[in-house]
Amino acid sequence: MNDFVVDFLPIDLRRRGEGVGARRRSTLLLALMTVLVAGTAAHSWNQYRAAAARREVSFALTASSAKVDDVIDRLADEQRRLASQLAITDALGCPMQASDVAATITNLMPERTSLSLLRLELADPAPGAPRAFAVTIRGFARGNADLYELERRLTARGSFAAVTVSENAPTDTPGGRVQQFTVTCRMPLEEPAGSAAPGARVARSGGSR
Amino acid sequence: MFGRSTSTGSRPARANRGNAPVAIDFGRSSTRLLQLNHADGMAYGCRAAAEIPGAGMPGGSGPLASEADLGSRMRQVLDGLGFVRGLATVTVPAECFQSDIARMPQMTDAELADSVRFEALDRFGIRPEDSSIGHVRLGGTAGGTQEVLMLALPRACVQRASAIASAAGLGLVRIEHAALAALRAVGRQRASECADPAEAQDFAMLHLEDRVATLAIVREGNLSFMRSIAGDWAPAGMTSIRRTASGRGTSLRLADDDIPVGSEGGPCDSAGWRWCSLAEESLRCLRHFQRTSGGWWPRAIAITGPAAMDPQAAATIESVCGAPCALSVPIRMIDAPEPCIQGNAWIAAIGGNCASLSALARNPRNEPQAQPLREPARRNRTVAGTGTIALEPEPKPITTGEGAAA
Repeated sequence: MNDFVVDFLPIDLRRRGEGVGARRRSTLLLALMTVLVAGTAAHSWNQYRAAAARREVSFALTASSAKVDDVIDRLADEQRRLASQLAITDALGCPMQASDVAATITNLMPERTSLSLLRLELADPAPGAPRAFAVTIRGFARGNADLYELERRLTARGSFAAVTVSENAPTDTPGGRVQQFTVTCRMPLEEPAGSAAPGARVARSGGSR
Repeated sequence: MFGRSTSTGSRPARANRGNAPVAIDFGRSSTRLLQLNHADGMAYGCRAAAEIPGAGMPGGSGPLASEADLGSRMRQVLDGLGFVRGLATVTVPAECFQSDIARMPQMTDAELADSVRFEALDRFGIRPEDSSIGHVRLGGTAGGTQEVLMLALPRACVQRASAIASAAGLGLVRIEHAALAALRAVGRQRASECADPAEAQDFAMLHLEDRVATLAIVREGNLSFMRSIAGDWAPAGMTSIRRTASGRGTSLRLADDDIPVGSEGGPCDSAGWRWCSLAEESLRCLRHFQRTSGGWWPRAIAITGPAAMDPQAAATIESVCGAPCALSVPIRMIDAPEPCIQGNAWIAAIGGNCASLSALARNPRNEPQAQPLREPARRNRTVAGTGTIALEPEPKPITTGEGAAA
């Protein structure tokens, strides 16, 4: 069936009715826009407050923390102190064990030779000279031949330098006459570049016997 | 002021997106509010419905409520029952209208509106400032002339409807004749449910109100004839105020062309007599239209309206007019209707909402065919699960295997 509408509402009343609808739509639209604007404003205000709080916290952290220059100076002081301590450690520390040196020397002594004293002293190096131990060996030998054999072995050994027989005197003992001797030599602590560590060489020579 | 006859071509599609305007149907003893929405293609969804006691228009039963009082009650109902307030359409009972059919030459719409205005003022004896006049072209043209249905509504009714709607917070956008709104609903229902589309285009509708019955004839989908028949058509069993005293002393004058039938001459207690008189008057109208239309006869007659409660009315009119007649069931157009929506009283409200909604999709309804009286007895011959053995009413021929073979 074809639809038709016979409307008896006059134009003025129709406009009034449509005006009611239009006012209602406008009111709803206005309320929607008000809610939208208020919501946006509230959200913006919250964001502003959060940003301001974060800024305050960052300012407080910046004010309470040390300056960068102070931190750098403190680190530099620590590095200098550490370097000096390392230098002292290097200066005082012995690169090898005294037992190794004693074992090496004992190993080099001939059969009819005994050791009565072994002294290791860190000698004051001359300017520009490498550090070295000043080794003093005191003992007894059956004869001069044994003493010279010991001197030759120490000299032949590359770890000792300036091997010198400083004392050699005959001494009577209940078993007979022996030679009491004192040998001094130097044992450099720094090796030239390319050579093995002195301690390692001493240990190898001690272990080869 | 002249009313407007407008086509609803693009309006349903525009209003389909949401709820229809609130339909206000001013009945004789109550005011019905209904708001539909387009739930699916088969039926309209019901958003809210309510019935407020009290006559909305002059001439109803009981005291006439003031506009502010009725409007405030309506506002409470609208707020309480979930109506979407906004726009509203009003349907006014047929007894408030004066109607007549005029034959006029072919002319444009503007010229026709002016001509109808002068013709209506002359025929109805009304003043232009006191009435709202509307018209609709009837059927097709014949011999360079056309028939136009003229309708006049008192301005007081328009003002009252507008004031009530305003008091309820609604924007009134349309006032309609209740029978024309009902015709729209019936037409949509038939277009949706009739198996034969041609049958949905050719029918007659009888819209029954307590004091005015409106016969509308639709031919090939166009309104072709409409007649108001005055009488006492209130259903039997109504109160005395509504049943007898309403038949006389109406404050609204009936149209000159209205046909007084029924209890004007005396008390009428026989429902059958009333339906016979209505059927005979309807038959006269159908014969008149048959003569003028070259032998056309309606394929069916639908009875609807607030007073359409009596199945005897359909039976009487069918037997007199000779066309299938049935009470309309507009509730089938609504999906999950509110409990208060019962009967044909809501047809005008549904029609008022339909104007803002699109047509229903095709949903042909297969009506069960009437069975002959002997048919149930024959069915009872078989023993169903009830355990009852029915006797054979007729002698059964003896058949044997040999006879059957022979």
